[in-house]
Amino acid sequence: MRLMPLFVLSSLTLVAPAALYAQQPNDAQIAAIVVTANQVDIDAGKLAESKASNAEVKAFGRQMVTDHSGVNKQATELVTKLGVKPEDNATAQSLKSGGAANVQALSSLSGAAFDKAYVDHEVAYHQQVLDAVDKTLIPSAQNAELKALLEKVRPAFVAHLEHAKQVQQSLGH
Amino acid sequence: MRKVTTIGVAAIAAIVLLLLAIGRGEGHGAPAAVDRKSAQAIAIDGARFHPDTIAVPVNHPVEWVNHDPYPHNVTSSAGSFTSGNLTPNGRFRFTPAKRGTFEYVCTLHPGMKAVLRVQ
Repeated sequence: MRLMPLFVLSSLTLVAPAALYAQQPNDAQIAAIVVTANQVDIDAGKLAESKASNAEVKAFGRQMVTDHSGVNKQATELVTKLGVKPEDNATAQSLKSGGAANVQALSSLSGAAFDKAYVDHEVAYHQQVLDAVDKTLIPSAQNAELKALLEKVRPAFVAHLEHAKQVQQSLGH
Repeated sequence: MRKVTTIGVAAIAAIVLLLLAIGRGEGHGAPAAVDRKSAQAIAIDGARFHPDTIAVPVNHPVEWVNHDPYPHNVTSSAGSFTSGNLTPNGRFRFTPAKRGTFEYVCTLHPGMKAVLRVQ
């Protein structure tokens, strides 16, 4: 599979799944991307839950853990039912390494600097995952139930993006 | 013989009564079922309330059902009612006793806003 270059946003690594695929992912690869994309945000959310100094940022992090865990549970149940085994792929791996780099970068920060970096990343991450869902994942999904799941969880990413922007604004950006 | 006939009549009467009850559908003897069926349903799906604006008569029950795989709540902006957090498939029923326009939100997802009009 030919990949387009990754790009970096600010000092934190951010991967745009849509930008990674020159070819369309298959359903097994989509399943792996969905689960990984959610897990990346769960990991960052857990860090924010424990490390954020601003109460709103902390609550947002907690919510990301809850919501994305719920989405992942539903996605896992569906792929199990469909007999689709998530297939690791370059996009999922890039998401994973990007998420790890983000958590590492955030770990070195504290106080207001942490809050700002976490929320800024959440805004950019949700926007890019949304782009991937719209431009790559939904159009590529072959199984109708998998496509329906992607369409069903899409509004959650929109809601999170709106919420992250509100938190960003309240932090004075 | 008379005893057998009496039992037979009683059994037939019971069957007839049962059939009449079934024929009426929901109704007598099952207030909870009646209430549930007649409630105005609002679905929480895709981080939205569907429909997001609704009008009901006063004292008519409204029921929200969370179809998303993560929690939501139904919270009146003026504090008139709140569901607490609803887990996936969780339900919240509210019967408005006062007329008015009630704006409500999900406090977990600030973009989720809707209006309940009680006439």
